Amino acid sequence: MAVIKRVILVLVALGALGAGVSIWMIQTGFYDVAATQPHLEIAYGVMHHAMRRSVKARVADIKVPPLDQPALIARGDALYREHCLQCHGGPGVSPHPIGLGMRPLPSNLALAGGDWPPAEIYWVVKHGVRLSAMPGWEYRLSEADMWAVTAFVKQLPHVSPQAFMSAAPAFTSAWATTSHADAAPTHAADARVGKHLIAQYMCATCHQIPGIAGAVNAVGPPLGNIADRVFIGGVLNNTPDNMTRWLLNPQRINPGSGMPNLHMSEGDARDIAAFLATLHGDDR
Amino acid sequence: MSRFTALDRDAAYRAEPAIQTIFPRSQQISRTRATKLRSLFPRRIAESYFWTCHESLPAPGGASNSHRSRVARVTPGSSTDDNNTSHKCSIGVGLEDWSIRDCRDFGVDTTEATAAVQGRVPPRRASQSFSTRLLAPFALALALSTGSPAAAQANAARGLQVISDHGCAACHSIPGVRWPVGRVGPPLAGFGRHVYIAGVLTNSPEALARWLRDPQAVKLRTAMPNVGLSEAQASDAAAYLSSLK
Repeated sequence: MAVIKRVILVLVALGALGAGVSIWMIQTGFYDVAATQPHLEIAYGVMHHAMRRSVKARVADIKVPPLDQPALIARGDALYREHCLQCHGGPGVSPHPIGLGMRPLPSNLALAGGDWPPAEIYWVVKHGVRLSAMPGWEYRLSEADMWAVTAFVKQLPHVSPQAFMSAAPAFTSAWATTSHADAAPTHAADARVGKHLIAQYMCATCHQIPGIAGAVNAVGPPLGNIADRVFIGGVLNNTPDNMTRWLLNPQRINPGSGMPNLHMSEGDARDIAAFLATLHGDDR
Repeated sequence: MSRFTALDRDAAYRAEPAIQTIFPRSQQISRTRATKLRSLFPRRIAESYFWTCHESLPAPGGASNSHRSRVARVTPGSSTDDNNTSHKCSIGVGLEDWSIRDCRDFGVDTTEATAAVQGRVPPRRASQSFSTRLLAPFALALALSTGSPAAAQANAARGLQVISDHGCAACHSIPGVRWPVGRVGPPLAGFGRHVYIAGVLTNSPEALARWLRDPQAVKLRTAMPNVGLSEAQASDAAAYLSSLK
């Protein structure tokens, strides 16, 4: 009996200690909520996994209608450009500044369209994801419209960047550059700053990049050994200057590329290029 | 030198960069040493490097095959000097600063290359490396495990053969091809899950076969060479790459 009592006492003490530490952390503002600071990779992975599991557990009753009618997909296309492009971007089209600054990152929907079942996509469109910036559209869009968006996202992996970009040129050119993009570089290229910046331009949503939270995606090629590789985009020789040129405007070098022009400032591009130059593969 | 003869082939491959620093190209390699090194580096692998990058120039007055671009050119006349490193391989596949003599020492048969440069005989295709023969059953098992229909299974296994024969691994790191591990183009691990091919095509086996048959038609300035695959070969290779998840 004494042993059990002691165990219970220890557990209660630990619980109280845990509660005390938590209250202290919250009250002193110990936890940094800045979106400009990265998550720990493992924290990001756990949160993403928890989100997927939560969505999967709630879609059993959703009846998926046929999603292949061209009219439905066209309607979804219009809605996507109206409501989704600003944060998620599209093939070859950069998100607006609002999306680039978000944490967790708005995922690349061409990848999600291939990976996610339609019921789960619909659920996220309808209900959003709490504690991320993904809104729920249940009270803003009709059922038919939400299914139209779902149908379009499912089709998105088959839309070439050229087709997406050429379909609505007026809209894509309405992307306004920000005052930061025009700023001149203030320091020599710094790889550590580059590592911080790479999380500010949504690179992780398309590439696998070692050391960057959430960078496990296969829209573009993996960047694990980019410093060892001979070519950038299959066209430019891999030098820091060329990498900066590529980052500043991939569309000029590879027209129709899935990599959008992210309207980086030159200083940011130099720093990110410096960081990429530190990514060597295992065999060298 | 004796420590190298004690190594197995795997270690020899990993040691290859070390060998290059121990025997810099500026030094003459003795025949004995070259013979011992050659036993560690199967000739076919060195050849697959060579033939991936070099092709014959058109014979004088003959039909031109210059529409098949390659990564490097063998300049006519440069083969007369054995120690001439003017056509050194600088694309990062481990053959930097090799001279004609070095190629011969490592067992690459350059007599045919020289003759081809002078327009006398057509080039020979790189032969299948031992690692491909070793790994072909693995590739078949991989194709079987993805649960694809019978025709696709055969395609993926044949696709791995095509990939090895045409030296794709000289530029890409490809699961199923042990060596070389190329760093010219992006790694192809998990290629079946990539959304885009070369950043411009949406990824499907058909689009991939189209890309493999003629990269320049899809993306004019790409460094990826047209290695002259037939339709069937391109489909097989595309099937294998699409099976990499």
